[in-house]
Parts: sequence; C-alpha cells; structure tokens
Amino acid sequence: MSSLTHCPLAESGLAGNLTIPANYLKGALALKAVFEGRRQRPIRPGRFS
Amino acid sequence: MTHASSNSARISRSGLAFWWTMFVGVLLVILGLLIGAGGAWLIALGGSWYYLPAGVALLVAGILLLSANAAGVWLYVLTWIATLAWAYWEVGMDGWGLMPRVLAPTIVLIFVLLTLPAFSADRAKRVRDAAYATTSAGVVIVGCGIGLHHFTLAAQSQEAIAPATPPVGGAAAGTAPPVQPDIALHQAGSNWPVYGGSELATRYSPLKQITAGNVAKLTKVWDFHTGDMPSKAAAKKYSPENTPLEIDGHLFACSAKGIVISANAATGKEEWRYDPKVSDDAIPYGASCRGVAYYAARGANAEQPCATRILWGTLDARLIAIDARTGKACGDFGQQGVVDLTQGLGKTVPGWYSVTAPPTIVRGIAVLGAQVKDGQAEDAPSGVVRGYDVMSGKLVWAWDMGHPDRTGAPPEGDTYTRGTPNMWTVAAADPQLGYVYLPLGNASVDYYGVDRKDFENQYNSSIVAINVTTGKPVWHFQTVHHDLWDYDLGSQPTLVDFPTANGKVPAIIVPSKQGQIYVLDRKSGKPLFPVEERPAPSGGVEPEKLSKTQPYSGYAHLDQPVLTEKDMWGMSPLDQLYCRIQFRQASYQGEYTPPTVDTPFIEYPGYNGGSDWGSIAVDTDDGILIANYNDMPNYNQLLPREKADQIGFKSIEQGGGSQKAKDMGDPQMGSPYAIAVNAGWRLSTGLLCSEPPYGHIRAIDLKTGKTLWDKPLGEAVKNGPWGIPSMLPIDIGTPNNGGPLVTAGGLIFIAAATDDKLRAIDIKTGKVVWQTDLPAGGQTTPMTYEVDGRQYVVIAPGGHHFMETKVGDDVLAYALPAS
Repeated sequence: MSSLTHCPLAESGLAGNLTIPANYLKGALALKAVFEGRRQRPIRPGRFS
Repeated sequence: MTHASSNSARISRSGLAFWWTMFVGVLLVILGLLIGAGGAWLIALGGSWYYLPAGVALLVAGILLLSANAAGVWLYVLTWIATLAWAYWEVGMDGWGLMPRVLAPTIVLIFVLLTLPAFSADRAKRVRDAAYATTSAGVVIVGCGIGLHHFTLAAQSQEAIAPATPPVGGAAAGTAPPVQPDIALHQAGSNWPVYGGSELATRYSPLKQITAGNVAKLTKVWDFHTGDMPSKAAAKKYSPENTPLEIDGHLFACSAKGIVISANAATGKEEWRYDPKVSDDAIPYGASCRGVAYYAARGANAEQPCATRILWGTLDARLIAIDARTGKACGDFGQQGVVDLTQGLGKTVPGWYSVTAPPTIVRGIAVLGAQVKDGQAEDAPSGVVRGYDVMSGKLVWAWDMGHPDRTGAPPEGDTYTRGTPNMWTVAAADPQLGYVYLPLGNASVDYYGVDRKDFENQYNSSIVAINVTTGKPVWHFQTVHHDLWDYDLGSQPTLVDFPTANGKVPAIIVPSKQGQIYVLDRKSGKPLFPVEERPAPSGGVEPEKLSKTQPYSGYAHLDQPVLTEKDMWGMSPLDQLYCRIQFRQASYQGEYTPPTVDTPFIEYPGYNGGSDWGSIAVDTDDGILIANYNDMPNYNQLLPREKADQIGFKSIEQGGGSQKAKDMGDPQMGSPYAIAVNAGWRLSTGLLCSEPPYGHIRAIDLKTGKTLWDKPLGEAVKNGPWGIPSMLPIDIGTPNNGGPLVTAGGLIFIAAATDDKLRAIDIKTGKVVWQTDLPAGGQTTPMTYEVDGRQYVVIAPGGHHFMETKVGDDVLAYALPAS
C-alpha cells in the first residue's frame, strides 16, 4: 500500500479527474460533432501563420 | 459440454462466454494478421523486430481461442509480458512512450481474461489464478508507468532558477535619454502602445499590480465582440491572431478581416469602428490581423483631425490610416486615407499578397511587408519592403533586393523584382539607432531553389537591418543557407541591452523556426555568441545547390534530438507500427534533410517551428527570456510536375487547383515539382506520428542562455483521435501558436495552446498559478496596461483554422477586483 501511495498515477491527480463524469458526458457529446462531419480529417498542408 | 481437443479445456458451445471467446479469438486473429504483416514490412525496411513475432503470437493465440483451447489465454498473457519487457527496453519509464506500446495490449488482455469463464471449472481456476496474479502486477506497473509521465515531465524542469541578474543601469527604455519625439521609444507601461509592447518587442510590462500572490483573484471584467465571424465560404479560414494596443484609456483591436475597433479600455464599451470591407476571396491561408500601429503627429494640435492615427494593412493589400479619436479616414493620407499596396507589384490576384502584420513606425515612416502566399509559383508578387510617410502616405523608399540601386517605385512598365523573399511577420526597430529589423521569409518557391537569384540566396531567411531613413540595408544575418524547408523567420526579433562582461551591448535576439536563438550586436549584426557552421546533409533533387553547412547558435536552442524509429507514436501498436513504417520509408538524415521526389522526406522541426510568429518575451529587469515553442515534424514529398498536373495542382493565379491538390500541398508552378506537405506528420486519426510533448514553454537565463526551466504547454482536454476531445487534464504539451507576455509582477501570461486556456505562470518556477477557459482558441498574444490605477490583462482569442480550435470574436479583459 505504501508503494501505491508513491505511484505517480495516484499523485498526479489524474485518477481523481478521471472520475468526473461530466467531462465524459461532454466527450460523448463531441461524438455528435464527429458524426455531423464538423470535425473531419486533419488539414495537412496548414501553416500556423 | 464437450471436449474441443485433447489439449483444450472443456467449453460450452453456447452462451455468452462461448461467443465472447469466439469474438476475442477473431479479434486476436485480425490484430495478429495486421501486426504480423506490418511487422514483416517493417523488418524489410530495416525496422524493429518486435512486431512480426508479436503478430504471429496474437494470430496463434486467436486460433487457439477459436479452437476453444485455453492455451490461447496463456499465449496472449506471455505475449503481453514480453510486450511490457520490450516497451521498457525501448522507452524505459517514459509514460508517453509506454502508452501506445502497452495500453491497447492491456485492454486486449482484459478481453482475453474475460474468456476464462468459458473454460471448465478446474482448469479455468488454475489459468485464472495464474493469469490474475500475473496481470495484477502488470497493471500496477503499467498504471504507474503511464502516470509517470508527470514525473518525467516534471523532471524536465531543470535546475532551480538562478539568482536573477540584477538590472545594471536598467533596461533600454530606462536608460534612454530624452530624445526628439520622432525618434522616441514607445515603451509599455501604463499604455501598450506598440504591438510588441514597444518597438523593441520585448513583450515586457513594468506593471506589477498582478502578482503570483494575488493572481488567483483575477477575474474577467469586460468583454466585447468584434462581430467578425466567418461566412460559410470562409468557415475554415479564420485565424485573427490579434493583439490590441492601448493608449491613454483607449483600446484598439482589429478583427480577422481588418475591422478596427476602439473601445474604452476600462469598460470595454465600443467607441467607434472602421470596417475596410475586405472580401472573403482576399483571405490567404487565414484571415489574420495581428495588430495595428499608433502614431501621434509631432507638434500637432490634439484636436486636429488625425493628430493621432491608427495605421494597418489589410488582406486585400491596402494601407489605411484613420483618426484614433474618431475612426474617420485621414484625408491627408494616400487617397482618402488609403494607399494601394499593389502598385508596382505586377500580376497578382486576391489572396496572393496580403498584409497580416502591423506596420512598424519609426521616425515617421511606416514600414511594412506582406504575406505572399507560399508555394504558388516562382513568378510571384515581390517581397519588396516599403516605407511610407506616416502623415501623407507617400512612398519614402522601397527596398527591392533585386534592384539595390533603386530607392522608390519601379519605373513605368516595370515591377518590383518578383518572387523575392518577403516579410510576412512583424519587424522590430531601434528608433534611436534608426534601424528597422526585418525578419525575412523565403523566395518563391519554398521547396525548390535551383532558379533562385544570387540576391535571393543572399537574403533568404535572414534578419536584415534597414536604415529607416534611406531604406538601404546596413547588415544582414542569414539563419538558413539555401532554405528548402520553408524555415522563414516567423518570429519578431526582440531588442535588448544585453549583459556582457564588458557591459551592456545593444543586441537583437532572433529566434528561428528551427529553434535556434541567435544573439547579435544590433548595430553591426555580429554574433555576441559563437555561431557554428555545421555540416549539413546532402542529396535530394538539387545536391549541387545545397549548402554544405548550416548555422547553429552557441547561445541557446529549442530544438530536440533527431528523430528515431522509437519516437514514433500513436494510440495503439497498430498506428505506431504504421508510423514506424512511414519513418523507414522516408528519407531522413536529421535536420536539413534535402527534399526528395522518390521517397517522402522528414522535415524536423517542421515549418511551424520551433519559434513562430508568437516569438519570445524578455523580462529585461530580471534577465529572463521566455520562449514557447513547438516540437513537431513535417512529412513531405516533392511531386513531379506531370503527376502534380494529374492531381490538379494549380497556383492561386490559375484558380487554385483541385480540392485534392489543396489538401495535399502547394503547386510550386514554374519549378519541376509540386510539394506534398503533411504538417505535423498526422495520420487520418488526427494524431501525430511523433511522441508528445508537441509544445513547450521555456525560461532562459538571458545572460548565459542556460535553461532555467522547461515545461509542456497545454492540456490534452480538447485533443484526441478523430477530433474527439479526450477531456484528459494532462499536460501533454499541445501545439501552440501565439506569444507570451511577461510582467514585472513576476508572471507570464500565455494562451497559444489548443486547450483554449489563458494561463498565468510564475516566471521563477514555471508553475501555473492561474488559468481560465477562453471562449475560443487562444492563438494570439495577450497584452497589459493600466487605467486609473488598475492593471488589465487583455486577450482576443479568435481561434485558428489549422490549429482546429474554436473561432471567436471576443476581446476579453481580466483584472483584480476593484478595491
């Protein structure tokens, strides 16, 4: 148990954040955008300028 | 119940457990075939030997499961253990490196273990006990490994911050003696009078009301909308990138298509607006207006029209001057406030020649270049840089490198030299010295240089000091010799009084897309730190033209080690394997690998930097340089003209070609090759083939060039495969586009990343001490000012089409609660 407390995964706070269901609800809603074609394949020759 | 074979456990041929086992068996067979075949291909290309045996093992395990043989479970577990060992051997405990190697295999492991109930009780129990024990240990290792990336990345914060160099004699602004108004330096303070804070472009403000100790209380105090949102035709072409100015309580912002708005800097209430009515077809890559310039006429009555004026260039190549008090066009400037910048250019079409950066005004002369859309044709509009009288709009000089003898417009019937390197980004200036420093781009076209003229080879991708009075070059320093990678200078240079053993030297800091940071004496152009010419790769389609060496800075550099096959990334072993195959198929000799036509070639860093137009900031009081930067390759290939014609490549002048061609790259008409570009080297999943982090922010000790800390910039919350936001608040280090603001309050304000956040970072530690969600992509640079004793931080998050962030039209101000 003591070794687990030193696990970076546990210390990072990531585990806690993973439990936020609202975030994943948003993620699921984002799928709608995908199916609607609003997010299409990546732009390839783009420039930041 | 039945015996499947003498070596197999008994399994029921019906029910959920049976069908699950069959499903997993089919899955393993498919994965095994794909990974095995890809693995054989990779071996043939000289790559890793892991994938072929792993694929065979998965195939056999799948067949065993389909035969109702529990040995399939064991074989998969052993393969998984071997995969863990291989992953550790390849990347150690690097969390990002482990992820594609072990995450998906571990998920499949769970699938495989869930087949155990299908087997008979006694045999299944033995298998289950052994498998569970093995797996439990493995999962802990994997979990810790993935979480370890935080540890690994945190470890990138290098040694504790060095004691800040105390200012000796103050910064340039502090030491400047009283001067005539027309050569005065306009320094950030209570105002933010120039795009980069001042003509010196330090992006540093002496304001210190907001500190690391109170920034947590920072809240939005106002916002307004420019109203400039893309039409359907311009839907994927918006990238406003605007940093407003603030002078004496008035804020001046410009929108994507150059609508200039004045607002009350304390309330955000609009005072006036001027719409130049730019049409959508004038948009080059993106609709951008990085900023405007402000000028107060020397000795003018403040009530006189246009005594103070705003100047800016538009996407459709107009230089406009309007009254800073009323927004009315200045009748004494050009034709009713407008100068036509297409004069002398010769042949051009909308969207080919566009101004996206603010003019630099020095000694009453507005200096500006333009973006000449890359890669269209060798016969492109000139990169001429021109100086206009800020009061009359008359051309004072034109620096046309093809005609160094000329000082003005070309004679009737002639044009400025076509296809020459242009200045699409922002210049900096030393008003006292009277020099303007031009970061130049590449001659047309970017990826083929045989036809370039000597003067183009001389000035390509150079920083050029121009005497603003004469328009003649004083010195230049080239950052790439014979540039065939679009490594133009995107970053605005920064001018500082550089601390040396012999006292402070007026210097210019030049960050490059390759990540080199050069420090030069800004009077002479001579390097203050050694610049080493290192041997460069040979080959490609123009070996005789290639430079045998390229310059490397002895001061500081942001670039990373050369890529190896192990650096290939993905969601799973499958896409990682595909990227490995692409890596092995490509020509790659490290940095400056010459463009090739027979095979793809890897360009690393890619042409988006390193450092791009967001540039750097320098805390001139404490001697700390802040640089945010990217770390991404491009995957490119030259296309023979005949093939390019078949695909439908055409220049903008010819109508722009087929959609397929536009999606692939640039036509480079007039040269033997078009260029296919995969910027960021992305797969159809949208993920990059290289391992994160893709974006960082670094603090550098100004005096020595040593890194004080370096951290990934940007969370993965809004990134994921196929554009699906992962919602993971992990500091993955996203691509970033926009610059930092540094304040005497010890803070860095920066957005730039793709997570749509504005952050305040403690400059001493690199720790994020405050952040807020923006309504759109923060691909711009924030600024700060003070009104009635209250400090404001303002940002105009407009999003960016290529960054795939949300487009917006807000201008937002943050401040501490009013006391």
